[in-house]
Amino acid sequence: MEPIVKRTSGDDQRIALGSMTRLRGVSSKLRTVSTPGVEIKIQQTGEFINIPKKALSLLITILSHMSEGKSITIIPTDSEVSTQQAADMLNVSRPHLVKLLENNTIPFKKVGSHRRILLRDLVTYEKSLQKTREEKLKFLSEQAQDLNLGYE
Amino acid sequence: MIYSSNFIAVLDACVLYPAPVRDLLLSLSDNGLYKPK
Repeated sequence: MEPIVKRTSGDDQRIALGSMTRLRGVSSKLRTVSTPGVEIKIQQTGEFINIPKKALSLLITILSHMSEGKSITIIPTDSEVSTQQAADMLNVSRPHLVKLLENNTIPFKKVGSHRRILLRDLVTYEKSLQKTREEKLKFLSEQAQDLNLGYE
Repeated sequence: MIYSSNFIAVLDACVLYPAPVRDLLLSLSDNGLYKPK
């Protein structure tokens, strides 16, 4: 399945800002409802559509990103990406990503002579990066406070 | 105009030495408020 890319415009952002908070409120009320689906009414055509609850929470995530003016891409988690696409997602150069693959930091497989990376593995790697960064920063600020470097 | 939170800031060494300023700026960037360069 191909990734779906949507660019956010200024109008989209304004609409998303308004609807996001209301949708959040609705979804917290829906938490007590046990059915797996929710019904959505499209005002313009008067039709009711049944969608899974999980799709509703995805919709909220999409709207919150749109309200921040970010563009959205939806990619299925079990899809595979090339080294160039993976490098773009992590904001690193392709040679650096290849280095990460070669020393087994990120698992990959080969299709012929091309390397393919599972999106799931990319996300795991990014999360672990985030975690180390957080820990180091915490250590750094604690050390600075212990040594009284400007903290009074 | 699209308001985007994708700000980029250049951090000079003078904000990285006083520890409280550094810790504040770096934790803000860690939470994705801006990108330090």
